[in-house]
Amino acid sequence: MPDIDATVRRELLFREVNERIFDIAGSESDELEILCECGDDSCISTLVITVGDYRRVRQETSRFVVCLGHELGHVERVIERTPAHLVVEKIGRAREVVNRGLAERDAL
Amino acid sequence: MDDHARVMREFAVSVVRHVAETRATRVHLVAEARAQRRRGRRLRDQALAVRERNLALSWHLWSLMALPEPPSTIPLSWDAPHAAQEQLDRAFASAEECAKECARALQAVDRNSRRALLSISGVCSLAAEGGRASHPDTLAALGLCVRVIESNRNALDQVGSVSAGVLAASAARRCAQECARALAASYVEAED
Repeated sequence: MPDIDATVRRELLFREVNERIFDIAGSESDELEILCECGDDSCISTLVITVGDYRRVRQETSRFVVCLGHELGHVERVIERTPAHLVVEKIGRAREVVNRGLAERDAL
Repeated sequence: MDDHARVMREFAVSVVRHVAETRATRVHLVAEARAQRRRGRRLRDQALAVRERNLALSWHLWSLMALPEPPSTIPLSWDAPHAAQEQLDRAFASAEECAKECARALQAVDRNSRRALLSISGVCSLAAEGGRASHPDTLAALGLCVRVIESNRNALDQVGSVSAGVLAASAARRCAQECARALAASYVEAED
């Protein structure tokens, strides 16, 4: 079983990159091409999501956007399925790791 | 002239004649040997260059996580390696420049190139900022820079073909190279 901490840290890193993409694209784009936020360290897939959908997902800190089939059952559950991507929500310990990681990030 | 002297003279004459007859062959052989030596040197230089390139590519593959272990040596062109911190600082500076140039070129490129530039700018700005703040995931961010830039290499070729994108494309390539070297330097220093 992969290390939950390492998996979630990677996901948070990808999410941070995507937040930068969102900030840079600003209001000028209707849709964004963002990195898959899955915890697989060899994944470099991208997915297209509308700015509105992305903003909505980001309102929940425990939710991540991943490519179809990239969900990891031991750390998350799928709460939304579209033809282009999945929205997953962290569960159990992974959720705690997300909150801790975000707190650390805010402290920096 | 006695018999011995005559024999010696005839021998000397035959030797001189033989030398004269074979002179053209010798000149040809010497020229051929010189050409072979030049070819040998050229091939050796080419082999060294290929080996250097392979080694640099192996380090690059390792930074992309395509190789499980880093190469056992560094390329000769890296033979005055910068200390890891110095190399990291160069990588952060390159990432910052890359993020800025890619963001600047966004308005001047087509839709596909724009997506690539957004991804590169996003990951590079994060790496640069993380580096300045000594974020614990800085090395992972640098690795991600290399991977995102490499995966958008075709789009960067496209971006570099329009005048407004030249700076962004070259900054991205330089950033990938500096980040890969910084990762290698960090690895080598950690091993030492």
